[in-house]
Amino acid sequence: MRMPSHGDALHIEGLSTGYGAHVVVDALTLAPMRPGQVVSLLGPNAAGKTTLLRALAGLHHASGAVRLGEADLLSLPLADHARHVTYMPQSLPQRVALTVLEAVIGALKASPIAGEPLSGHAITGRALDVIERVGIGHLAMEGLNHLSGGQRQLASLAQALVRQPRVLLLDEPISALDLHYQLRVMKLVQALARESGMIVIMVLHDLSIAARWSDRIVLLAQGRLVADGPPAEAITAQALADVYRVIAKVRADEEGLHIAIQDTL
Amino acid sequence: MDQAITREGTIDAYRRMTQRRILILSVIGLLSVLVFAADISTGPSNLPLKQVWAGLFDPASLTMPQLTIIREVRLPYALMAILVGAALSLAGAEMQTILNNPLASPFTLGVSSAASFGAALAIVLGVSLPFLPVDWMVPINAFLCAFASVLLLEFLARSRAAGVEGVVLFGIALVFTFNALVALIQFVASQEALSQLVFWSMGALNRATWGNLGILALVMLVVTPFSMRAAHAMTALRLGEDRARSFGIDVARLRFASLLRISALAATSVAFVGTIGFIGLVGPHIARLMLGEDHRFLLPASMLTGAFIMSVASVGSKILVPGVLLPVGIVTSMIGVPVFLILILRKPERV
Repeated sequence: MRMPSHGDALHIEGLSTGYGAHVVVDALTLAPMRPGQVVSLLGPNAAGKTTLLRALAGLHHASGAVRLGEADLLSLPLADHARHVTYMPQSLPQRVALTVLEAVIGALKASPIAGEPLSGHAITGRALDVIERVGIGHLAMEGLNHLSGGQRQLASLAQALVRQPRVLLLDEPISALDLHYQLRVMKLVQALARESGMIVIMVLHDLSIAARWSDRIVLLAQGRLVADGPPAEAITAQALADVYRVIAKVRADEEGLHIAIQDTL
Repeated sequence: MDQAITREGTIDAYRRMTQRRILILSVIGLLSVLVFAADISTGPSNLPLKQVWAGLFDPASLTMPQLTIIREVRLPYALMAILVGAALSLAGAEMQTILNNPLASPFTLGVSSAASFGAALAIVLGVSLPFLPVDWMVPINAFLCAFASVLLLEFLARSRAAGVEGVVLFGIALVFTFNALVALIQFVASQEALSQLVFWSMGALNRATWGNLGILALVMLVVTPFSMRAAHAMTALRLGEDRARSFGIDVARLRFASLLRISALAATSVAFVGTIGFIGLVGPHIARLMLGEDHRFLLPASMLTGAFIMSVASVGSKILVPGVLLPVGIVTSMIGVPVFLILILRKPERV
C-alpha cells in the first residue's frame, strides 16, 4: 500500500455510521477535500457532526470509504491511522496533574508519528513551538488543572497540532475562547493548513466565524448532506431555514458574508 | 500574563523539574531504606539494629535463636512489607488511571475482597491442582477471583450508562458481596481454617516466608517492566480516552493488560498478607501530589511511597502497643484514613 503524502486529497464516499440500529450519518459522500483546505461542519444539535469526526478519526465504526490519496483510512489499525489523522475532542481533561508542556510532549510520544523519529531535545522544541504559536508559551510549565477553560482548550489544540497530521479534525475548537483567541485560533489553523497542506475539518457553531475562515462549508442535518460549497454558496437564507429552522438574512459583499438571524421559524 | 517567561526559561524550568523529580524519587527511596532498617530492628524480642546487622554479616556472633528470629521473622516480615506496599500502590496507581477515577484502588473497589474470597475458598476447601503445591493455589485462586472482579469493573466503566460514580458504587457493592461471601466461608469453616482466615482478613505479615516472598518478588519482576512500558500510553490516557485513541493508543488493549497486572499484584499481595487497606489509595495520591502524572515518574514513585508507608505501618504495628504485634492491616487503616482526609481536604497543590 502506498503511504499518503503531502499532495493527497481526502475522499469521503458513502460513509455511514451510527449506534447499533440507530443511523447517525447516512451514506454521506463529499467532494474530495484538497490539501490545505479548511472545511467547517455546521448543523443543528444531533446532526451527526461529532459522530462523523469520530468516524473519520477511526474512533467509531463506519462503513463506506474514507481515502487519503490511495490509503483506505477505515481499514488502517489505530496506530497507523494516527500517523495521518489527529482528532481534538470537544471534552477537555480536568484535574490532570500534567503541565501544558508535558501534555503536548505526551501527545507526541504516545505513538510514532509520520516522518523521522525525533530526539528528546527535538520533541521538547517542537512541543514548545506549537505551544508558543497557539499563544500560551507563558503557560507551558503551568498544570492543566490550574488553567481556565479557554486556556485548557488552547492546550488541547496544541496537543493535536503537535503531531502535524495530514488531516486535522477539530470538534468545536473555539467554544471556550474569548473573541481575541477565537480569531487567533482560526487564523492559526488557516495559516498551518496553507503552510503544510494539512486538511482541516472542524465542527463550529458560529456561522459568521465559519463563513469568514473556512474555504468550504458542509451543512449537515440529521446525518444527511444539505449543502457543500464555498461559504457564500452553502450558507443561504433557505439553507438556514431548512437546517436550523430560523429566519435569517444573508448578504454577501466585498467584506464577506453578513448573516443576521431574526427569529425562529 | 507574564511576558517575562522566555523559551529558554521554560526549557530550563522543564529540565529543573525533571531533576527535582529524580531527586524526590531518590529521597523516598532513601527514606524507605531507613524505615526498613528500623523495621528489622524492632520487635517483641530485644534485638536492636546493631545485632541484626551482626546477624546478617557475622552470624557467628549471635545465638541460634537470635539468628532464627532475624532470618525467619524480622527479615521476611520487613521485606514483605516493602514488596506488598509497592505492589498495592502500583496496582492503585494503574487502576486510578485506567478507570479514570481518583477513588480507585484494589481495596476500595472490591478487588482485594474478591481476592480474599478466592484465597479463602482455597484455604478452606483445600482445593489444589494436582501438579501445584497448595502454596501456589491460594494466590492463583485469589488471582482468578480478583481478575473476574476487575473485568466486571472495567465492563461497567466502559459502558456508557455508568459514570465515575457508577463504578465506585459498583465497587462498593463488590466489597460488600465478597465480604459477605468470605463471612459465609468463615461460618462453615473448620476451627483450624477459621483461625487462619480471621487473622488474615485483618491483614498481617506473619505469613511471610521466604517462599511467599519469592513468589511476590517474581510477580513484581514480571509485572513492573510491562507497567513501565505502558507509562507513555497511560500518561496520554489521562488526556482523555478519545484523544489517547486518536494519538494511536489501543486503549482497550492497554486497559486489559493493565487489569491483568492489577489483578496479579493485588491477588498475590492479598494471598500472602490478607487485606491491607488504603496503601493502594494513599500511595499513588501522595506520589501524584509530589511528582504529577507523568507516569514514567508516577509509577515508580507510587511503588516507593507505598513501600515506605507499609514499612512505617509495620514498625507501628510493633511499637504502638508495647509487647503486642498488631495485624498490620489495622495500622495501615489507622495511618491511611487521616492521611487520606488531609489529602482531600487540602487545597490543590501546584504541579
